[in-house]
Amino acid sequence: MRAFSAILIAVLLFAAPKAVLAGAWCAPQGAFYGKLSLNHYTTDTTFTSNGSRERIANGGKFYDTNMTFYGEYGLLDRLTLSCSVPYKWLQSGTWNETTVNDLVKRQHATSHYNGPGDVEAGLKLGLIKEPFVGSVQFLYKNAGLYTSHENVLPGNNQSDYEIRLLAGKSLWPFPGYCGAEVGYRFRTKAPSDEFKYLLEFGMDLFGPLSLRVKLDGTKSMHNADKVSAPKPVRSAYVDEATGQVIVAQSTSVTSAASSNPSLGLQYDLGKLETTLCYKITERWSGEVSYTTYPYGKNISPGRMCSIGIVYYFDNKKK
Amino acid sequence: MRNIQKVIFILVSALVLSSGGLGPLKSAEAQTTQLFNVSEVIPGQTQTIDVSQTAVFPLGCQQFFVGILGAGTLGVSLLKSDRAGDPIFMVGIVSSSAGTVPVVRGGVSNGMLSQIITVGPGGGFVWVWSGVAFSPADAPYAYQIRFSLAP
Repeated sequence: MRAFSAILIAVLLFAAPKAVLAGAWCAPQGAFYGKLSLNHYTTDTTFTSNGSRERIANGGKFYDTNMTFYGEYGLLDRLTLSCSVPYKWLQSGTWNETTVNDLVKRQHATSHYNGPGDVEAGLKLGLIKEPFVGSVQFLYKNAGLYTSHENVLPGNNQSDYEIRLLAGKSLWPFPGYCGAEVGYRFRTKAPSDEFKYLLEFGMDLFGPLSLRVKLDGTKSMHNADKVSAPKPVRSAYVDEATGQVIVAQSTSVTSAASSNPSLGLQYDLGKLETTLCYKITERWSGEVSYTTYPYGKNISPGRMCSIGIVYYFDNKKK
Repeated sequence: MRNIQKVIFILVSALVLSSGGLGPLKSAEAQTTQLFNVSEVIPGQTQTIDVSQTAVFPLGCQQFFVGILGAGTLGVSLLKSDRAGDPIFMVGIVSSSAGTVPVVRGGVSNGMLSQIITVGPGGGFVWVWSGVAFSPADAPYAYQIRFSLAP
């Protein structure tokens, strides 16, 4: 039976390294999995507190283009180290209305951020291999590469700790697998803790092509800190026609919320990611993904397109 | 820092008072051809000055000394829209209890140069040297400079 499971794992490793390494399966000792992806996220809507969708206030639009490196390394056969490092180009735009001499003027204001985002590091420990593969993962998220004063915040600017249980099952002789994960994310500052869940299914299509569908969910634990009274923020510009200084006053909370609507203090969100993988060589493969956000509360949905290149190295492999 | 502000203020005042081309600008909308101009701005007021630069850069460019009689958000702007393609500039300082802030802006007409500065309690003063840096056309060159203080 042990030999049969080993063969199954070997077949899956050979057939779709991304699929198995991203889930409950640990990388063998000395194996390396690296993925460099270019992602483009855009949104102009938000989920309300009752889950319906509405446009972002003032015609706001938000773009997040990022290049992210995700890597896994097998420290031991049952212990895998992982990390994720994103570099982001963010753009947030809104229309502001001001009244000058009884004339209402609309001005488009755009904010940018260009820099690193939240860095994540994790350790995954394999627990069981029968009757399904099970593991536990500890994750640490660090926000030390940016400050809370960025024009557009790339993250919530606080550290997170997460514990996650992962399960995976090969569907052999059907050329596919499925996985499920549950986790709890502790957040150190104002945002609420989160319950995480994930359902995943992957299969070989034909030839070098494989498909992966993943539902990645977040459920707020509704224990966010109460927001203190917002500090007023003054911004000003000179009206070209009159030379008059126009001062606009807003609150820091609304400006922060409008600058990056994909962040939230306490929100629910479901992400549905569909990925097509193409195995180029034994070690290299390419991926194309499209992500939608079918349900949620108090956060922006959007659309995300991704392309990625994956390198897998296993020193046990010939 | 306070001493530096006082020294700058005294030097600028001396320069203004000793200059022959000194001209006070009292109204909120004024015209000038003089090299040195003095005015003041109060909270809620926009001082608009139509400038006629009668000689070429650098000696023909005007200097403005503006007393700021109150705290608020000051906007200094230069607008030239009568012809396109002329390089324009404004250089100077704004000094108040909130600090001394340089004003350095350059651009090309048609267009507006502007800078926003926060003025601290007790008011302050502005010195700006501005004008048309180059033009294929002969002088005079027309432009508008505005000082606006929002409370």
